[in-house]
Amino acid sequence: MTKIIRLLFCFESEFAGDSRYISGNALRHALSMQINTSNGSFTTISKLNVPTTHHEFFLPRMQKCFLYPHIEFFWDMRSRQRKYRCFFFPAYVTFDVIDPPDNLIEDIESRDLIQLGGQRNCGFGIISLKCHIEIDLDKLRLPRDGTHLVLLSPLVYFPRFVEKYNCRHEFIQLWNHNRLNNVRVISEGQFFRIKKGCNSETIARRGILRRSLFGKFGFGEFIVHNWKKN
Amino acid sequence: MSVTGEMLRVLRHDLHKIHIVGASPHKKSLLNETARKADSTAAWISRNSFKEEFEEEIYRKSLIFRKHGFKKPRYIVSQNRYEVATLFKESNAFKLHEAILSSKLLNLYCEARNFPYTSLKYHILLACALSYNYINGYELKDLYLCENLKPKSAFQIIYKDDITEWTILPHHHDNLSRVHPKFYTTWERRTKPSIGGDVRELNGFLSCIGSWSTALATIEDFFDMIKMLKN
Repeated sequence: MTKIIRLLFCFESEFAGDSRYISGNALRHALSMQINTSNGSFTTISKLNVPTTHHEFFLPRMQKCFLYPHIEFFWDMRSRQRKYRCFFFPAYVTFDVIDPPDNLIEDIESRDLIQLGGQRNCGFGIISLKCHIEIDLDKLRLPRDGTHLVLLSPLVYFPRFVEKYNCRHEFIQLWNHNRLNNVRVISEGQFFRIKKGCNSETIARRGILRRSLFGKFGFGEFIVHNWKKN
Repeated sequence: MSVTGEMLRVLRHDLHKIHIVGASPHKKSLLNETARKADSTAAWISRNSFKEEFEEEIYRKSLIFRKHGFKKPRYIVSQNRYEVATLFKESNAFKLHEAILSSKLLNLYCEARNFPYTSLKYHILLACALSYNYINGYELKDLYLCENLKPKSAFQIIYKDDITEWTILPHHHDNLSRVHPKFYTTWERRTKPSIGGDVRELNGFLSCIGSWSTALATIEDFFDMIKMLKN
């Protein structure tokens, strides 16, 4: 049985950082635990329901939650320039943790302070656990007729089961082993056609489990779609 | 009516939204079926997010300048009503399109009053680009967002700044992405980096904005903010 715990965190203060998602690596550092976690998606959903299908599983990730920006200007003493900083007031964020340690929930609940994102020294990014659910991947109905996949998080290498064509790359900064690494990734949101003859269910499962390089940091998550049906 | 004449009509079709005296009502402003279809498509791809209650004000709300706002938009709008009216008196369609494209003033108006983040300026430009492509026999599914490619006609341009020009063209091998009803789908599926480059904030906003005119107005506002900082 492959167990996934979906965590729903509630924001208690402002958040500064990328408004698309919070990297899984940020949660690993915040908890100081080497867990296999997805990227965090901002959401307005305040209650989690156990998904029964592949599509339902990715519903919180597919939902586009626009974070209204608050921009303020300040005088940077170091560079002696006027600069701006941007922060948001998100409501909730969800993470999926694959095969979590037994005491994960107790550990999170026992902590006084968990912070994500930038400007943590100013009190930004404070979160608290609102609820969590357990998902049994074996009970999830996976698509049998998928024709293409949409990346929900960045991917380092092209998987073997997709057809290669022009795509967009970007550099992502990844803090690991006390070093800042610049990783060239295929940006999320792009779609790729699945090669003919590949097993759609296996690929969909792979997308949930993030079986790719840096999957433990949240990379390599994708949803399988049927082009004709959608 | 010639294509240029039809385009002139499309560019002037929303004068009633900025309360210009003598503007023809919406029903009478577009007589051509293709132009009406383009106008409704442009409205449809813009009115798909940020719906709010109907407001009396005709000026646009900005996602970037939220708290501080534009400096007294109501004041600017009422002070410059004559200028806007003069802008639309231009009888050359190409010159009028160019004037709209570079107008900062027209970006202060919203396209629909229950969608206050939409921009009238970009709605007009989108309607014009779609109308031109529809007249040439293309449908929405055939159209692509292209960057810095020479268009067949100036009417296909929807956004322009110092370094970037966005056009809506039929299929081109060097396109950015297909035109989808939601802007974020088009933006996320682009095959190469575009406006903003590595600016994380702008990229983040555009990845979540569904409305086309709101997204284009946000890009303009964002670069205005950067200019403001430098000056």
